[in-house]
Amino acid sequence: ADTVRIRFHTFYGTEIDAIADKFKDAVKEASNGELRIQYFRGGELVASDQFADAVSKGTLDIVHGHGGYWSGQVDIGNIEAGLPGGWTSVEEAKAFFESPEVNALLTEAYTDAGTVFLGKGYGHSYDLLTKEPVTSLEDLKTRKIRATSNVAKVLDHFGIPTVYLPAQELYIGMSTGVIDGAIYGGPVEYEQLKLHEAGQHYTYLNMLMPGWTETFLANPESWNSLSDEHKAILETAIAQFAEDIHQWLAAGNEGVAEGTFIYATLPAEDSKALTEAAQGVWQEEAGRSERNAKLIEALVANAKAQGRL
Amino acid sequence: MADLDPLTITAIMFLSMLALMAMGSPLAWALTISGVGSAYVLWGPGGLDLLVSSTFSAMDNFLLVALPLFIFMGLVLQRSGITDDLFEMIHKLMGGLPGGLGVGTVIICALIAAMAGVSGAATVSLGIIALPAMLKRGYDKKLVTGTIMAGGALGFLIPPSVLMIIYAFLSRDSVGKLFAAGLMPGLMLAGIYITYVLIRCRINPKLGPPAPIEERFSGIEKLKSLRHLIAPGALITVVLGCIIGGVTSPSEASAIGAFGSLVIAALHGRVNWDMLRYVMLTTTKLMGMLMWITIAAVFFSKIYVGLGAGQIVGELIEDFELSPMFVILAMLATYFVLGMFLDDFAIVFITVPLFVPIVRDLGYDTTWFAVLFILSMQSAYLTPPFGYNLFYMRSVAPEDVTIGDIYKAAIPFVFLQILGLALVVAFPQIALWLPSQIF
Amino acid sequence: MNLVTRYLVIQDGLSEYVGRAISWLTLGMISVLVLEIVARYFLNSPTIWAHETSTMLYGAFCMLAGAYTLRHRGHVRSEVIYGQFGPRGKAFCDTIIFTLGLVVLWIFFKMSVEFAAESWAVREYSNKSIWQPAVYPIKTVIPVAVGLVLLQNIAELLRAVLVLLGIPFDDPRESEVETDIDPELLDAAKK
Ligand code: NA
Ligand code: NA
Repeated sequence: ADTVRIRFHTFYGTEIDAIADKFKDAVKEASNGELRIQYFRGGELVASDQFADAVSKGTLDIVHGHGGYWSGQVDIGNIEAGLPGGWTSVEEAKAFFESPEVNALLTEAYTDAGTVFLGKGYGHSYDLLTKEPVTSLEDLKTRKIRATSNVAKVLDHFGIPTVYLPAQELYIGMSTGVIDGAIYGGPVEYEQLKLHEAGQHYTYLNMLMPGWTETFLANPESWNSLSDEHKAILETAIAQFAEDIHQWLAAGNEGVAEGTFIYATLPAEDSKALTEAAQGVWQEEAGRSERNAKLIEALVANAKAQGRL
Repeated sequence: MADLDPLTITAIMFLSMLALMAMGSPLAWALTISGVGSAYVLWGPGGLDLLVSSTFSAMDNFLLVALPLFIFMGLVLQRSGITDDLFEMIHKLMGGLPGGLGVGTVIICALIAAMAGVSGAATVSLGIIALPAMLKRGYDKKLVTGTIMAGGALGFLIPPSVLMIIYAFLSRDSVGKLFAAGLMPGLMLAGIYITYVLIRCRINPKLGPPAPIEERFSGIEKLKSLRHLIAPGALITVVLGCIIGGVTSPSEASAIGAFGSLVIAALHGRVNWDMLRYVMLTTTKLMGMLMWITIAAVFFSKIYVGLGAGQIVGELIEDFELSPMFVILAMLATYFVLGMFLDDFAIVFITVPLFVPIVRDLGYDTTWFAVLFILSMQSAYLTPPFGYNLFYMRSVAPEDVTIGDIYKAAIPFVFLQILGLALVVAFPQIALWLPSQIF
Repeated sequence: MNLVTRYLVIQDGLSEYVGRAISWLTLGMISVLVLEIVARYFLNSPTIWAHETSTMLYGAFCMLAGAYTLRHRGHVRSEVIYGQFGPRGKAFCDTIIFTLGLVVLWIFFKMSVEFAAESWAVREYSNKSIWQPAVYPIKTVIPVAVGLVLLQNIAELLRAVLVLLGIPFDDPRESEVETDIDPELLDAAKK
């Protein structure tokens, strides 16, 4: 049979190459070589914030990104990527996204955006790294923190100044003092960017865990042209790929050498204040569309069921 | 999708692009036509969409805001009268030394390079101001034209540098780090030129005769002439200090620099409607060119990579078991040859997406390679048939300096540039020491 | 003035007019960023809009500049081989290049219209900072800029075809000298 090549684009860089190789091999083997993954790392072909567009047009067959990248185009993007206060454990996040109601909303939203929703992956720690120790939110009011929009909005609520910097400028930004800290990922990500050379103080915010979720989308035309067997192979392999990344992040965050970071935790009342302030962002997201209102409703119901609201 | 092997894809895309370029096609047209053709035939409509997404990526990048502003700054400085002041200063300070004005010319070039992001600013203004003055004092025409052309090319190596910003955009390196890495090699190259001028004039004083006694100046006058360093010194300190010291992003520093250059020009009484219009329109013309090449080249290389041909060079290295250092040297040789025929922007856009991933895979520091690349481009400015500084010099030099003189003048300096390049290849610390100290 | 010349004057004039208008954006970018630095370091209140505003000014400026550059023959080309040809030979090459260019620009134009239309349809906003500005205006610049280059490309093609066929016409651009060197400085050198 003819080989079918799938253009698969992730937002990760070289750090997950080993996992990617395993994924490519798994697909090739399970399909007897009929299905081949042509794998592209972050930024190689399409900028991550244009993934949704590229996969709907057929430039790419499958993308692996997160909702924040396409939140300007797909209403639910920001919510499903992870709002501050949204969930506190992987199990909780999984249960939330696997509920029929939420799954239906996501499927509908991504179908409307001209894509096929294939499934989700779960990130890991997403906390604050600073040059100087942080003992409370009050400490942050005089520092400049790099954060992206939703977290930035919550920090803004407390009068904490935020700036946006692309990832490759974080190291210099922090070592020279353009920023005093960043909310970008967990210990393993910070270590990879060598940020521990610029700032060692890692503060758990207890705001959101996992700090982000990942999404796999396919181009409808190329997806529908696949045989059911090939679809099943891809779905299985993608689920494993997502799980491997999550495990790699978890192990990486555990395994960061002792002394690399000095860990601290934000006082419980500050974490609570953050979560409460995040309600403003939730309501703002709910106001963007009817679908968003429904998804936020589900998120609120879940938070209440967990006893957090 | 047609299943073609990487070699065929490479041949189709690069040969069609080169054929169009040989026909005098603007580079942006050649890259887009060949990219669209390849996408359409080999990929399908989905591939074409990369054209629009590449466009938006090139527009939506805060880093690149520094490009027009550094270009703007260089154009203002050219007309600001700063070169006249600096030349007057070195004339008073160093006119009495054999070859002193030649040495001073290199120093002025380095100072202008530390303010302007482009090469050419120094070549043009020194060609107009310093060249006739030195010829009148009996300096050897080949020595001085060569010095001005080589010194002028420092503009891209000593930060700020438009070429480094584009390199960083393509390779996703940090601009601040590249700037810091370029500084020492830039000063080293300036030092090499100065040494060369001094040695030549020591051996044969007729090449750069010292000023006659009646044209020398007192200590007080020399001291007073140093005031001309204040304005450029302040501008350099602020702009480079902001970038390397991390006070602002490079883009913000470029705005300060553009604003500061206007202030300097205003202090010289050189700001007027005519000058402003020239600077604004020339920036528009240059950025229109750069932007459209950026889009075309990013699109072209994405089609190439997306068709699965990106790994071909890597496979070649593996198949022939080439040593990593051999690969680097081969790349530098390629740069030298391309530099004879192509514009430096064309070279950066065509080669960086191909070379940098390989350099990274071989385990080399991409910042170091960036400096090697910029050093190679120094020669591109001086090698015929296509060399900007040869062309600038021909336009501004007095008539008794022939095109043959200009070509011959460039030769020893190209060798000095290769010497500088070899030093940085052998001792990467020349480039990497400063960034490692700061960041 | 015959029809061809009148058309060329109008088309060159359009590109010239757009280029002159957008050249002011250089001062706009400088002002926005200098304002941001003053606000941040002297007033201790960084703006949330300066970075994205200057980026949008940059994007619009550079894209729209393309037609002006083409009108002034400022797009980099290598003349190593092309320069050896006579006027008819050059016109032959230009005819091929600008014909292919026309096709490619037309495809580019159509895709960019769709790209902008989709952004309008969802009222797309940017998600980088808390400012979250609308993205569709800047995306609309793309089809406008590509359209302007397309129009100027037609004028270039017409010139090449007329020279190739040996049809005489008055080129309003003929007397213009394009130089990479500041004309005032060049005058100083000539003295
Ligand atoms: Na420079
Ligand atoms: Na050259």
